[in-house]
Order: sequence, then structure tokens, then C-alpha cells
Amino acid sequence: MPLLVKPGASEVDNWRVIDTGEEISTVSDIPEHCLLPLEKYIELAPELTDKHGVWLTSDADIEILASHLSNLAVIACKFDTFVDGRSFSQARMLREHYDFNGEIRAIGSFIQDQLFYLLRCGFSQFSVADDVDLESMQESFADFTETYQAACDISQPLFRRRA
Amino acid sequence: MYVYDEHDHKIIQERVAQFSRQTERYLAGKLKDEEFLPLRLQNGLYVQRLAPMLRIAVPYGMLNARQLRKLAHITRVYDKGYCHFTTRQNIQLNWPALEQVPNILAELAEVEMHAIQTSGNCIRNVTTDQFAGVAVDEIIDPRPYCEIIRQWSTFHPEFAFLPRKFKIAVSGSVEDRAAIHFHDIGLQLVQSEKGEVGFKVLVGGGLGRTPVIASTVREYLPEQDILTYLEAILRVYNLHGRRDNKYKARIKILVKSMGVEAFSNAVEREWEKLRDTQMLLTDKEINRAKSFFTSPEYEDIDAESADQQLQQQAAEDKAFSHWLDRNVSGHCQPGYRAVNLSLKPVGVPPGDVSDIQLEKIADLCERFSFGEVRSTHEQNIVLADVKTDQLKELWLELRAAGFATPNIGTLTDMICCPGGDYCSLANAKSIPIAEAIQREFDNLDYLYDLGNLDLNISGCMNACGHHHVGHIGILGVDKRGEEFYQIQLGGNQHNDARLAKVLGPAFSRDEVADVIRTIVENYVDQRIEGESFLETYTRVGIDSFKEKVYATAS
Repeated sequence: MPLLVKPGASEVDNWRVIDTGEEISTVSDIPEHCLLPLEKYIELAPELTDKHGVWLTSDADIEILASHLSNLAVIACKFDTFVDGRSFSQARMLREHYDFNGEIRAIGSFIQDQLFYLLRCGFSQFSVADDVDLESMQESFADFTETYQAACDISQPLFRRRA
Repeated sequence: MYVYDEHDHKIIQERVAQFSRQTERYLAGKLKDEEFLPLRLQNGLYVQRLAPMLRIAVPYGMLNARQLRKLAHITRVYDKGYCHFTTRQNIQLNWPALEQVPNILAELAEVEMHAIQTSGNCIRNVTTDQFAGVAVDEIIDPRPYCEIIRQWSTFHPEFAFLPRKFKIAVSGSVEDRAAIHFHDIGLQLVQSEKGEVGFKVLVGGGLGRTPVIASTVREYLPEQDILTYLEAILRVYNLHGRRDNKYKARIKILVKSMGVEAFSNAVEREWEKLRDTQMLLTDKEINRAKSFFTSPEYEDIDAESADQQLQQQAAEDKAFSHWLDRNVSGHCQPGYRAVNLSLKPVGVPPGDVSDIQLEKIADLCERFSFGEVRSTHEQNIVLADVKTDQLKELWLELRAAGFATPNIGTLTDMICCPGGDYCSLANAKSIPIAEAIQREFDNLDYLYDLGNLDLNISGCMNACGHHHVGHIGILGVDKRGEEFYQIQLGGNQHNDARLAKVLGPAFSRDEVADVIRTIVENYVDQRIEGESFLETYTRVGIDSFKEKVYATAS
């Protein structure tokens, strides 16, 4: 089973990602702890609960989600390739423009060495294979103890905090 | 010059530790090649044709004596005893060993240097005018803003995996010496009638395969808003820039495809949400940055008598006089001058410097220029604050050290990429072309007569040698496995920014120097008194040159 990791903790990831191609006609087909593709989620949203989440491709326009955010506990951003940096902006906009307080989960092909930046951009959970080196991963969460910019982890940039 | 506080030191040291761990994981087989690639690139490490290459950042071109000595030490211990100054005011080592790179970075950190974001698809080293702070035509000193931008862009969490590399240049003077029209973002400092400081913001310039002159997206942006506005531009680019084709991924392509107006509107909409956040600059921070770039303790000098003495020295010595004309620039402080050290003597690859020369520059800047130097995007070095009455003494030293070739701004002061001798992207060699031209034009009197003439050489269409904006540009191309060189004419990197036009079919390596000779002779024949090469070219057009060159060649 894949793991769901965050700073200082990890647990089994029992969420299932429903693929865009999967046939779903009614909400009763969907068990709890499923992440739906954006279009499917929007279509079925009135009947879904916060036991369901949504997953976004890196080219998704998050504005479409704006009216649904209060019902959502989990939004996942999927990396098809780790060098596609659009999800960094998506997460920040969810936190800073839409004040989304639920979990933002990274899924797909991100890499360990991006964890620190991902955290700063508002990601809170990371779905990884169960053979990862958890200790090394925890180290990467804490690559830096000081940063120049304001971001989701710290409201003031260094220049406002300097004595 | 900016001095690190405990926060800056901590951030750089944590970066060295991070990259050491990553290198260990890579060497232990725990990090795949393709995963290590962007990590090493963002720490300045390329893998080149023959060996790795490490590109060290020189933020906006400022270096002090201590840093120069450290660089000399590093080239001696970890490399072959020389390094190369690049067109982004940075320094490249051509032969470091991968396993030793973390050690090199640790040594650099000791002197407040690093190789952060000198490569990769992230925000690169910000560049500016080599005469910042001393230029006669300066409006506002750009360096405090460069430092503010350096800190903002360093490890920016959102913009480390952009569609493509991203370059920012800042100009604070009337004449643009930072090529702001050819950067992803070009910032021109301006002062309003009320004395308030702000920026004119240009976006979408660049060279490479598709050269484009930048468009103005905002005529005036107050200085406090610079970081939030940069974030808005970068966010629009990060979300909407093309990622399917690396040759169409730069912001210039996005600006073209959206149209300047639609692009600007998108930026403004995003900025509305960002402008009142904590990233809004404070007066306190702007003043803190400015406090590092105050004037050095200039002596009160009788400038008039110093100038008289200088004129007399020049009259007595023609070689000294030539050097004064070409390599010495004016200064805002009476009794001082800025001095260019030419890194383009005949027989040395443009921009290359040895360890001993680095130490010599360190000594000279301590003796003559308050212990600081600047690197230039034309790949030379500047001592910015030299007393007029010490110019002769300095010249004698520079001559002995090989830095006094009086060719700044002339045909032989070429911008030249490392080319096929080092670079794995290159289609053709560029260093031997530079050398052939230097040998062809070794008559200094003839060079002076030609006046200002920018000749730029790139070994491939990625255009690291800025061939599109040379008055004469040379581009290495590959024709069925053979190296050929295309000639372009009429580019200009300064205020009246223009892109060069292709003259015609390419030439073999042996023909290039002769062709340049023919082009230059046509200028001499056609010019009306006082006209520069570019002025004559603009008046007579490319056909005049085409006829001469291809008549001779056939």
C-alpha cells in the first residue's frame, strides 16, 4: 500500500484515485476515500460529501473549483512529471487566493527533493510508494530553516523579520 | 557591496548541506540521473563535452578582493588553473570533478558566494550595468534593487520548475548597458516628476532560436511594488508558458501568442491579488539595501589639475593615450575614472583568466579601487573607482599583467561563447574564429579608426554569444557534419535595440576572417565622416555589404 507522508508522520494511504477513463454513473458507485477527476467531481458535487476528494491535472483551472471548496477536505495535485511546476502555483493560489484550509496532497511523479518547496507552496500531504526511505524524506522536509520569501508556511518575508 | 548577515549565511550553508546529501544519494544510486539533473543544474553544475562545468554566480557582477583570491584558489586546487567570465557576468570552471563540487560550494560559501540558480529552468542571476553607482548618466543606482531581487528569487519555492530558464536585467542609467530589451524581464529604473522611484517593466525579450525585442507591459511601477509584480508575471508564465516544446517555452513565446495587451491584463489581474500582501517592499528594506551601496570614501581631489596632468601624460605616450581613449570611462565623482581590464588579448579565449591573474586583479583592486571589481556582460573586468592621478601607474601594472589591450568596444573586444571546444550543445567552435579575427585585425591604429564595433560570436543558435545583437554577428551552424558560419549584420543591444539580419549563405571557418575584413572595408569605403559602423549600415543597407562579400567570395 502506498503511504501518506507529512512532516513528522506517515500512515497508509487508503485513498483511491479514480482515473478519468473510469465509468461512474451514480454517486452510489463511489466508495468513501476516493479522489475524483475534476470534471467528474464538478458533475457529481451536489451529492458528494467531504469523504470524497478531487484530483487536479497540472493544467486545471482552479477557479472552476471555487464554489466547491467549502465541501472539500482533500484536493490532490497530480504530477505527471516532476519538472512540471504548475502545481506549485495551483497550491499557492488555493491557499492564498481562496483560503482553502483542507489538505492539499501531492500525488504522482513529484520527487523527494521538492518536498521543502511543496510544503512552502501549501501542500500538506504526500502520497508515495511504500518502499521510500522515510527518514531521508523527513530530512528533505527540513532542508532549510530560513527562507527569503513569504509563502504559505510563513506570512512575513525575511525582509520584514530582519531586526 | 552587499554583506551577508547571519540569515544569508545560514541559507547558503543549508544549501551546501542539501546538495551534499543529494550528491551522496546520487553517487549511491538512490537518485536517478533524470532526477539529479535539475538539482545539479540549479547548483550550477552542467555535464559538458569533456567534463562537468560549474557556473558560479557573481550577483550583478560585483566581486571583492577576498572573493577573487578564493576563486584563484579554487581554480588551482579543483580545476586547471583558469576560469571563464560569461555573458551573464558569471564565472565558469571547466574541469571540476563532480564529487568535489559540494566542497567547492562550501569554499565559495565562506566568501559569500555560491552557484545557486546559475542554470536550470529557474530564475537566473540578475544582471546590471557594470558602471552602476559611478556612471555619469546614472538615474538611480540599480544595485540595491538587484540585491532585493536576488534574495527574492533565491530558492523561490513556486518558481523552481518553470517551463524554461528566466533572466532578469536591471538598468539604472540613460544608456542601457544591461541589454534589458533582450531579457525575459527588463527593468528600467525611472524617477517621476515628484522624485519618486519606480520601474518601467519590459517582458518577453530574448535571443536564442527566436530572437525577440521585449515589449513594455507597464510604463511605471512604484519601487515598493516590484516583488509582487515580479511574482504576478512569473505566476502567469509558470501556469501558461508552453511545456510541450522547449524551443517554444520561453516567456517571449507566451507574450507573442497571447498578445502584449492580453498578457499585461493577465499580469495586472494576478497582481491585484498580490499587491497588498506582505511581499510589498518596505521603505526600511529599500533603505537597508541602499546602505550597502553607498559611495566609497572618495578623496577630495583637484580634478582640474589631475585632468591636466593626465592630458600631458597622454600627449607624451601614444600607447597610454590609446588605452585612455578605449579602456577608461567617465565617473560621476570628480577626479575619478572607471577602468576596463580587457580579457580579450590576442591568443586567449575571450573571458578566460588564470589563477595568477585573478590574484593580480585582487591586488590591483585593493591598491587602486577600494578592493572591489565588477564583471561585465561583455566578458571584461572593471575597476570602478580609480583616481585620475593613478591611471598611469595602474596602466603600467595592467600592461605587465596582460589586461591593457586597448580594445574595449572595438572589433576585437568580442563577445564569444565557449563553443564547440567545451559545450556539448554547440554546432561549431567559436574560440578559433575569435582568434582568427583577432589576428586579422591586430593593427591597433586601424581598430581605433573603426571606432565602436560590436562583434559577437555564438557556436550555435542558442545564442550564448549574443550574435543577434552584434553590429556584426557570427553564428556557427552545422552543414552535413561540417562547421559553417553564418554572418549577420546590424544588431544593437543598447537603447535603440535591434536584431541583426542574415547576410547570406554561410562560410567555412577559413573564410570568416576574410569576410569580416571585406565587411569592415566596405564600411570604411562608404562611411561619411564621423559615422559609426552601425550608422553607415543603417544608411546604406545590407545589400551594399552583400554585393561586396559575395562578389569577393565567388
